[in-house]
Amino acid sequence: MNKLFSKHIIKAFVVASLCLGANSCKVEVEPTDRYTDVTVWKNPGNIKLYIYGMYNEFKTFSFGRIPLGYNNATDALADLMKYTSTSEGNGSANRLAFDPSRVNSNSPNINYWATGYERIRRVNEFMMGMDKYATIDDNLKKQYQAEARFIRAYCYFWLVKINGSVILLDKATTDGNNPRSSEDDCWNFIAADLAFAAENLPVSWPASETGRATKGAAYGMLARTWLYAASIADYDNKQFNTDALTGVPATKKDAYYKNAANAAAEVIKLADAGNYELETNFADVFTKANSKESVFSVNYVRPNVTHDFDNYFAPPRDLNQPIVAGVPTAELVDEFEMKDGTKFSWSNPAMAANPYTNRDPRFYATVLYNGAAWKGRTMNTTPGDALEGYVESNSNADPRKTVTGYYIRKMLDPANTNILVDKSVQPWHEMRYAEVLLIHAEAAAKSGDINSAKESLNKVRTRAGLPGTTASTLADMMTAVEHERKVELAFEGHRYWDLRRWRKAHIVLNNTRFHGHRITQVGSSTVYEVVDIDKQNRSFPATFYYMPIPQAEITRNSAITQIQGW
Amino acid sequence: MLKLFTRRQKLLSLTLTTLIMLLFQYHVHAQTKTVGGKVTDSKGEGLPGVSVLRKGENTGTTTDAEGRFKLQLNPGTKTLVFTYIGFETREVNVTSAAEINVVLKETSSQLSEVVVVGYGTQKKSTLTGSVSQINGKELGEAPAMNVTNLLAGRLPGLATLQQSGRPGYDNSSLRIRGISTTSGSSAPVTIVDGVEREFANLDPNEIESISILKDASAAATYGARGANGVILVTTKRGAIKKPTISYKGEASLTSFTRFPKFLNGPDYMDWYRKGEVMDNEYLTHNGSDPVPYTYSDEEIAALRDGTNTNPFFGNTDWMEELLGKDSYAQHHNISLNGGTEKVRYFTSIGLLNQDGVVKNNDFKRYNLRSNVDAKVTEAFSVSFDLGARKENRNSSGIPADNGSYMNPFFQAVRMLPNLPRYTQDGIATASRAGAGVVSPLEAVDKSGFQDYETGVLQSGLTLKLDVPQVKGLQLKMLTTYDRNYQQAKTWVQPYNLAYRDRGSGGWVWVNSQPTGITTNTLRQSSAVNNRITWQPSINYDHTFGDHNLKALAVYEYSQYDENSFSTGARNFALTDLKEIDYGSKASTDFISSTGNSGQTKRSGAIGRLNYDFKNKYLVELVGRYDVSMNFFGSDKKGDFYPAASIGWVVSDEPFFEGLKDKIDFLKFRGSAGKLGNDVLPSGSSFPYLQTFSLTTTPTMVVGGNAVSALYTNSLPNPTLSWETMTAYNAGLNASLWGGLFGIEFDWFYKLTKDIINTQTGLFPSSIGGYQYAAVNYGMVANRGFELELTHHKKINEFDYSVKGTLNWARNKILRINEASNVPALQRLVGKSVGTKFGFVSEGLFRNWEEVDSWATSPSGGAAPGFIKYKDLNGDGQIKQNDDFTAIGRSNTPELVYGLNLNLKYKSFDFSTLFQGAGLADIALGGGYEGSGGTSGVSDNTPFTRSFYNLGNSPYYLVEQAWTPENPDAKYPRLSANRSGAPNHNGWQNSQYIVNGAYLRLKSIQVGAALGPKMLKKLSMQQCRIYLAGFNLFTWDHVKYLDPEMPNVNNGFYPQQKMYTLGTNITF
Repeated sequence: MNKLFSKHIIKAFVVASLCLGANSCKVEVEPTDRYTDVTVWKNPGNIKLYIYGMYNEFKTFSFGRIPLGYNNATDALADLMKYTSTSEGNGSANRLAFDPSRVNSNSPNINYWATGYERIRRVNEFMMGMDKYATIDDNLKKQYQAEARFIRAYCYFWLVKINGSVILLDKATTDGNNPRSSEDDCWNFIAADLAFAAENLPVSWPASETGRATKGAAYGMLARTWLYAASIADYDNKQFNTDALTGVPATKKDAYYKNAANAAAEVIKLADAGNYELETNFADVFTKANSKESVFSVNYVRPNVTHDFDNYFAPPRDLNQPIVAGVPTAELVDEFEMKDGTKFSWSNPAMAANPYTNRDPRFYATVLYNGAAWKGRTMNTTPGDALEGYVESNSNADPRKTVTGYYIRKMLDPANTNILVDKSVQPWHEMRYAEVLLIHAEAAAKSGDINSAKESLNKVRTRAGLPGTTASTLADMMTAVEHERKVELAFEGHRYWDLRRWRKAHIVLNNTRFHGHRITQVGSSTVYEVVDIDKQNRSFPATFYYMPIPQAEITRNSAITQIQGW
Repeated sequence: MLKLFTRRQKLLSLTLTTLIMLLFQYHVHAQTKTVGGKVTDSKGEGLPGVSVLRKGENTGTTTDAEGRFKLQLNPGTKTLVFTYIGFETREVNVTSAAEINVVLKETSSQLSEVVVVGYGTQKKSTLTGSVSQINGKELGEAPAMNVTNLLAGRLPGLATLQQSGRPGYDNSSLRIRGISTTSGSSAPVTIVDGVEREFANLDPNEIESISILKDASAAATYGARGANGVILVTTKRGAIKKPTISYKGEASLTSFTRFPKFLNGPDYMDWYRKGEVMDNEYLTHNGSDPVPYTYSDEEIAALRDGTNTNPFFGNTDWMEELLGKDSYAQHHNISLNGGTEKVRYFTSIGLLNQDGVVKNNDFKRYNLRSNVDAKVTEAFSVSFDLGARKENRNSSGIPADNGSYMNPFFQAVRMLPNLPRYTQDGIATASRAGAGVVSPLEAVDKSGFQDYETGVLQSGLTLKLDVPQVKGLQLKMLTTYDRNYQQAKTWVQPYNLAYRDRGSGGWVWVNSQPTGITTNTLRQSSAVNNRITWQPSINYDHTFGDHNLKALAVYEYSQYDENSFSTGARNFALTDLKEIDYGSKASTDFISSTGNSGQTKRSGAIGRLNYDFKNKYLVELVGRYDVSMNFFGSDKKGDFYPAASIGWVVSDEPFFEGLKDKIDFLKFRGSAGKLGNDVLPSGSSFPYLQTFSLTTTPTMVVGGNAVSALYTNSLPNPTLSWETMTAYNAGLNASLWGGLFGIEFDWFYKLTKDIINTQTGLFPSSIGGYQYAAVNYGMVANRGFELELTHHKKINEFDYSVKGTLNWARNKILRINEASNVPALQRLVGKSVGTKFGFVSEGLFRNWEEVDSWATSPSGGAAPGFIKYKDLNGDGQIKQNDDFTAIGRSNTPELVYGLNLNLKYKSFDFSTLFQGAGLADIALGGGYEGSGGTSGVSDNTPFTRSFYNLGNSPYYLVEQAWTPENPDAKYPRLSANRSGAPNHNGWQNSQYIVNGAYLRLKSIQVGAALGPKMLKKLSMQQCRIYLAGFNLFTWDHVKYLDPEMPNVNNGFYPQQKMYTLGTNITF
């Protein structure tokens, strides 16, 4: 019995082993949690998602951010905004403005190198993958290529703005040893990408695709690119740096200004055809969805795609845990003209007595001042208001309220009442029509066409409700353009870069202090006192016109040299 | 407590029912003749508790206190079997004599001990590989909650590092023979009952033994996974004996081993003022305006002399309230063990309940095990093993974990002590520190909860057939199915806080909410994974005269599937019921859900041959062929891992005869072989495919809709393959003076090649990461030794044993993927894995002249009292690139030792373990490694920089901080952090490297057992109570934090100091 039983068992053993064995020798596994290249390119829907991801890059510099750690605004490096905090992290922008010794190739502070090149690699990888695998028709391919090159150009635009001479890569490569190209070649590389994009992108997208790059956006960026290249050719002249590859030959400035004017004119043409127009009400530009003034913008929608501009810049009573990262300076406030186009002056007793009346209407949409109406209250920025009132700069490392007597108004969402929970969804305009007009004004003026320069500038002034400019010479015209860019584009991240391309930063931002207004009530009269908000001198050494390439790149790339001077 | 008690009662009644059924079976035999007698040892002393069984029936009795027994014989009884632990088993034929006196001989442990090895067991005397083992009894000496924490200092060759004592999250990291690779995983494979399983949360009472396989010969059976060594855990099985019920119960008081004392309210204000004076000196020196003082002299004086009436001030000891309490833990286990020759069983039920020192952070575990072996026929047997457990880890919404953002420690060290507990309006006070608002007690009480429930089911069926036609041939098939699930439910909610702020108009309370928690949110997730393993094997074991032959062939296939998803809801209008159903249904409140799955498969074939001649000349050949899915695109889909070892028992040679009275056993061993490591760096699975992932949350808005983005993962590397290691081992085992002393020594050398090197930091960022994620490149050599010395002696009723272990392992990177232009000082080649790099400190700057004449700071400025970094290349600039060099060792110690002492006198016993480590370093500041959720940033911590993040400071730090009056200070310049000075001291540097060597009194236990007479009266076999202590003393260099602390932390949950009262009762 036992023996028999054993025999059966042995049989069963063998059979079971064979069955199980046959099923258990395969170890190949297909990934279940990710796509592979073949599957991605098979489906046109996937290609769309692939290219959409690239647009994420436009968030890097949205709302005037620069990649400096926290949510910093570039304008805090210039004369328009003061960062309230002096503590590590929160006050990074201040530290860069005051202490150039902190900037070196190990910590360049303004650094887009790795982020920018990663995106450039992805864009190149996308185009290479499309060439290799995609089965879509050639026109569609060209359109995707145009979109990809538009994004690549944007990355390069920032790299060149920061470092001047960078590595140009039009293909993804595993070879890490690549030299820098000359600054002139870099600008031309960007321009070629944008010209291709302008050629092949549609004028507009159907409603379901808005948010993608258009012909107008490409021309606008092209205009901006040529304006920068022209400015370098015009103002740099190797005065600040002896690096062989930086700078643009002065001989090219006329052609480049012309290119800038022409590209801007293409956008103006598109506007005249009904694609773009200035908003009647300046304040609407920054809150309205799908504003016609927008040439290219990044949009947001709750709950997942949001930003935190309100969180960082709204006045303290707007939210439970205020940050108040930056506040407008007295320099900006004073820059706003009177409604009739005359300059504002504290030495004019009438103006000084009521400094916030009858100003350029854009002032009221840009700055929250003592007495301004905001979210159903009247702002009180006098020291008496414990929560929102003025506090002396540096008396607290992290004051989280105004140190200038002002708060930002522009780009805040007046309808947002639960900022911490709901975050912010107002759009970021990477480029708006008013900027294109100002680019045109500057480029046309530099090209000798003062009249059409004036025409474009006045379009911006007229919309603001101001009389046209009186400038008639190139010098006056440039002063008018600078003023207009300062007030029209405040907090949109242009000022610092304008001062740099005009090679004025080492004058305007060096060995100087900026100011605020301490407002107190003495009896029945309001006293405005100009206060030092910096408590030490600012510094902008000429070497800053070309920021250092991060040391890690120098260490790992045998074909590259550091920008001279770093 | 009541709930617990009833649960225990239920468990008890269940066990009892089972027991009663078994007892019935035992009592149905008819009775005939009776025999009696006495069992003694070789000296004639009666042996109590010797098992006396009728052979064939496996029923019987045990001897009494004098060693006497009486037993009824059944008709078929021909032989009695006498077994006793520590003595050789004897079989005695029943004669007509009524009196049977038996003398038992003590076993020499070296010869008879059986050691668990891969896919089998071997006698220690003929073992040629390097294996260390401890049994379950040793594990019981320490009152710990996690098996991995019981191993420190007990197993030669094993280094442990326990960086957290948080209940339920306190695993030690285990390293066998140190570290031999620079890639992802240096962790050994852990095998429980033949299958890859975790063992940290087994109940220590269900463990029979833990062995570690150290050399190539021992680990080769695990082939492509064996390079880091193998930990084999074997659970208990039933013995052929009368059923015994054992109960073990423990109650423990636990508290923190260390946490520094922080400043109280008035002291804080005093020191903060001193910091501001220092800051103003800095500001005025640099031409900036000084800052006004935060606290007035009157405010400071009033708080100090108790006359303070200002509602904005108080004196609260946040640390004491958060960490000062002892917490309570209890552990109970009931097991039943017994069996006949036909059926043997071991069942065990365990309960662990551990409260956290930090409130609302606790751990509960229920363990269940049932291992049953049945002999179906003479040749065929079946074993069915079942292990199940349930683990509940509950914590506050912001858990007390070093790695969580805003964890209670992080908040506590930043909370100002000069605050009242509540404002006049009854709102909890808070401090603003850096980016957030902190309030540690509220974080623990009000932030919500994180509840994790883990369920584990491990089942295994073994069929065994002793092939009747061929003696010694056994077929075996093990099939296991394991299923784990983890469910998490996390509820976080905002709560009201008030922080104190000073504006131009004076102090005000500003109402706030905790940082990052803006709306109540419930998240729920579920992860299920299961593993099936199929393991048929053939075993042959036979002796031909003097030739002993053992052969083994195994095929192993395992498949592991994972599945997880998560979802949630927020903005609950009513918060009584925390279920997703009750969350807001508004689309803006939606939380994106996630879901994912994955699969891993492996298969391998193993062969092993053991041959010995007269147990004297020993040879082992072993090999495994492995196939791994990780490298399926590679040309080399599979690989073969062979190893060979030899042994020579010198003491059995005729020429040794004369030494035999001094050296009764001496064996030399040697082995060589190849092992592998197929673990991929995290995030690089399917390295041979170009894969894409979709972002889990939308990133862009197109056409007004949020869309997710598809992005590529790293560039595929079709040639990537496994790491291979060649390992050599030489060792000896000796037993001196009849077992009085034992020596085991091993020397090893391991060379790992083709180490999977990630390429991060190798290529310039300009190629944007367009590179293979990993390549086979690196090479590491690792060598060391292990020594175990044992001494055991019995002097009358005084019995003692001493065991000392010492091991040292040092590795050296021979080759690693480094960029060609990395400066020589920072090259990893020639250094050990985990070496710390940073600036070399030359002390602190004494004055401004010294600062100004020194090289420029890497952060753009320094001041007196800042750390003077050495300018290694003398270029006048301190730069990471030129002046970073090796400044410290790894946190994993190179040297580990333990001293275990056991004493027994009559019914009293005492055991203690000293455990220590050396040749390890800790970094107090520098590169963050996850503390407070921060990684990859170089900075100070609240333990190195006074008033860091505008928080509080420990006394030692401000008292030892640099001031002009204290120029030889240990810590940098005192500062209130108001000067805006560069973070010059935040770089990793040698000033902040502390020697991590320590010696601990790891455990100590004193027990008393009831005497035999008393036991008999109570019908018990054993009854013992004991008092134990764990982590009572530590001698080290850190002093104020635990020496096994994580690098660069902001406060963490250290190992626990415990006092335990326990009892063992066996019926």
